[in-house]
Amino acid sequence: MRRIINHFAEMKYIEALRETIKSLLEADKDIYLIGEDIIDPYGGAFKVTKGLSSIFPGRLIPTPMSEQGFTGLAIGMAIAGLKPVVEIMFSDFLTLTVDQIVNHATKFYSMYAQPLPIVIRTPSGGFRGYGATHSQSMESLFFGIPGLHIIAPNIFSNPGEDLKYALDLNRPVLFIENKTDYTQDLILGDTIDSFININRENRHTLLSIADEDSNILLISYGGISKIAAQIQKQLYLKEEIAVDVVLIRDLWPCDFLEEGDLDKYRYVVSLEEGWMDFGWGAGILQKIRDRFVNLKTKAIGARNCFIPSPRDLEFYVLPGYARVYNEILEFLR
Amino acid sequence: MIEKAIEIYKKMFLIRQFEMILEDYFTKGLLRGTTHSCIGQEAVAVSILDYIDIERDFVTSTHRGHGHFLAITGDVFALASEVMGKRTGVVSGLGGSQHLQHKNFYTNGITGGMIPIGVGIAFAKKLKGEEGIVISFLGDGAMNEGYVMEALNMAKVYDVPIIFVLENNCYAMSSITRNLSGGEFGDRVRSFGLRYVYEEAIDVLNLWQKFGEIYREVLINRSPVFIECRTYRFCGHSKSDKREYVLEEEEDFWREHDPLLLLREKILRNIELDELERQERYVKQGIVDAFKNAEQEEELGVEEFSSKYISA
Repeated sequence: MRRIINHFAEMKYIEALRETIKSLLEADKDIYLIGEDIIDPYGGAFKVTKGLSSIFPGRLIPTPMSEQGFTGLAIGMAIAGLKPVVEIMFSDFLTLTVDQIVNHATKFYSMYAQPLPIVIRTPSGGFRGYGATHSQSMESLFFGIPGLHIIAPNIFSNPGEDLKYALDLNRPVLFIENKTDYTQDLILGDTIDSFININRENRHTLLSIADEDSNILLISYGGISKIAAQIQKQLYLKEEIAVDVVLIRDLWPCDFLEEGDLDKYRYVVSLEEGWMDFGWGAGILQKIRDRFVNLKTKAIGARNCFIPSPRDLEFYVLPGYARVYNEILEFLR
Repeated sequence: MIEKAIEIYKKMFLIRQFEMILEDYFTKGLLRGTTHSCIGQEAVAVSILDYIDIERDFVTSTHRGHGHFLAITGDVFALASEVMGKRTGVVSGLGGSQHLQHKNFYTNGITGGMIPIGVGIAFAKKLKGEEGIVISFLGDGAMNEGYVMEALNMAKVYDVPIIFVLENNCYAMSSITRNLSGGEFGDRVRSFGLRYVYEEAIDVLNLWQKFGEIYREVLINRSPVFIECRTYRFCGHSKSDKREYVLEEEEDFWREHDPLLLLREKILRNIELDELERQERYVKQGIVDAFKNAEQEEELGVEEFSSKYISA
């Protein structure tokens, strides 16, 4: 059972991350934060590290705009025994880090059996009008790379706990935060609106309708978990359809299938914010279909298009609440 | 001095013989994969690496890393095993020619990729207050990779104890590097505010002395230095390269200034030819035996491999 710390109960996602980083810096002198504009007074593009450079002088390393270079820098620091936590300002800029992550970090970790505690944090996702190169869910580039671990927290558990977990893995971790989550209050109790139960016994979180035995499963991760939970609630209130929601935090490698008992489900829907074709959902649904034959599955995600800036068009391309709700209803009919 | 000269010569001879025997194995179709030999470039490896302590210092190398590995370890059997994919190899035979890791020595197959990593290791040494420095090798082709420039900038900004050793062998694979490079490398390096040193890898003993001075300087001053070393490879970029692109005058110059032969001539002023040849035969026989012994070894089995290396 994962322990829920009480003082996080009234906490926002960004505060939980900041508090955790603070306690990590206090507890472990080998941890360094590396990234662009992360020191005070600016404190990071999304302010996750605000205030920390003043408390821990020298522990936050401001970098030039050299994402390839400072990702490599951090890998070198990890080889030499430090624990760097890198911030890539927007997940879109992960494209610049691919060579260092794929051809260096993961190869040293897996081929050279090199312990390599390096966590690369980055804010992902859209719905904020930032346009085509500041709104993407770039983690999809990295699914399936051996030697890499990908974690995406959500607001239904403490993202700080996930960050600690990530550092303890002693291996390269891509840590996908979500821009729309930073200002959200964390939901850390055992129920939502007294009729949805939350179970956090594993590295994934199960939201289920109390006293209902559902044969429909909705799997999701990261920022869009909020929409998954909203849809679960509304499907039950409006249509009397009970859906189980599983929010996965270890996106890759994914042990959900080893642990999860899917026998009871007849319908499985995946929901991701990234492009749905050949995306996370396509991969995980294929694995599910390989193991459980009598299932109907559907992947929902962004349309195959760049992410436009105007609000209505952005919500047309990305899987917003209304579209997802309708697509799921149609699928179940 | 003559003892040191002989010691350095024997290391160079070992590297060259190893590479020649290796190329011979490839030509005969006895090996899979590819290899990048350093025939002609041995002088750089043996002179700088003579000073390092691989338990304390770190060395990052390149796809052309056999010479560096042998200059540090002299372990021809482990390297021969590695290129043959045998379990007795440097990384259990799994990496092959380009992917070596031994103690604080790391190579990888991506041009220039180890340079930011070398800076990171040196930065960690600085932050932890640890002794020792980093030697990071790169080729002239890598000077046109973006993250190498990023790394040079960071080396200056964070002021870390690293020596960059640019082995400029005139060719980036088949391309004449100066035709594809704007300006001079020295100007690029100096523009970051880095200390830049230029050497020609011809007179090995002179090179060895200069490297010694710079090594001791960085060990004490803890600030980065960039050395460009003009050198030359007498072999192809990789095993399949027929060297159709080489410039005749360049080739002639280096044939006349082969640092290995020049050092040999120097040594022969002090010891008898018979004695030197006897020592050469001994070194060569050691390599031949190492290759034969490596051939007898086995590859890592699927069962052991999958239990140790395949997780997800």
